[in-house]
Amino acid sequence: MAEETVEERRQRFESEALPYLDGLYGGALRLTRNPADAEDLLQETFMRAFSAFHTFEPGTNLKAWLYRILMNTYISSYRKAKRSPQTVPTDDVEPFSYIRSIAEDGSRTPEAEVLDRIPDEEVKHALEELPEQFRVAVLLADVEGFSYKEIADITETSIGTVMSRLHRGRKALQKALWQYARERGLVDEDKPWATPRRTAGRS
Amino acid sequence: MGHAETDCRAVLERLYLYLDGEIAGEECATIQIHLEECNGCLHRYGFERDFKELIHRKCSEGKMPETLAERLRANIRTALGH
Repeated sequence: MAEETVEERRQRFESEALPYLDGLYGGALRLTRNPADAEDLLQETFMRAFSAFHTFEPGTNLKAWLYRILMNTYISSYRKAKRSPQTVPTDDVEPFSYIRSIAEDGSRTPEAEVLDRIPDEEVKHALEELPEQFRVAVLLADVEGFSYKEIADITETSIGTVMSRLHRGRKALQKALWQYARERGLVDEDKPWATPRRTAGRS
Repeated sequence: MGHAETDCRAVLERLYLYLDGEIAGEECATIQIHLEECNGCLHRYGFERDFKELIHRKCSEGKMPETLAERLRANIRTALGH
């Protein structure tokens, strides 16, 4: 097969990879936590992606491939500069223990209704406040919808580690949001499920 | 109650795998049957499902601002040698 010329590769990159700019924007924002750094990160990511584009296997997940470059670029260029903590705290995240009532009709659980009253910006902020490894796991699984295998590939770790980070990240996020909801008076304290540690009312 | 506490523990341990679509077939069916029988586990599942949806909806960015998108595309094209 004839070798692809640089010009052909450039055209292919622009038509196939460049449309993912939007798709990676949210991830870049949640990683860098500010729009200016997110812009720089995206630009550098796409420059690196073009340099490596001949190694991308057509037919595989291009967004996941680009995300992996985004993560590597972030780790090598931005995290170092910011000196943000790289490891997660060793203390275990407390389990979310406020779930008490029962949703039997397929509607949303009351706890989720409470958390839904929190403004989007505050939820994004809470996600950004998570330790980096938790943040990345929740971002890739819940915001971007990647599979465990894809997340393991993107973050260059094992599926077991992905599962552990995802579990702890979700619990930490639930705890932070529930705390926010209580502080802002979004929780109706008269409702039985608003009281932690109360035993289940239904028998 | 037609199930033992150990069933609940087994289901809760695999709840995220089930929720995230990481298990299939018979194991999936076993969990489904348990959720139909056990209100406690059903509620845990319901909350986790709602929470995942909530995070997806509230933390998604959608399209970036058009001025930023244009600037980035132009910068990248220039850097690629246009």
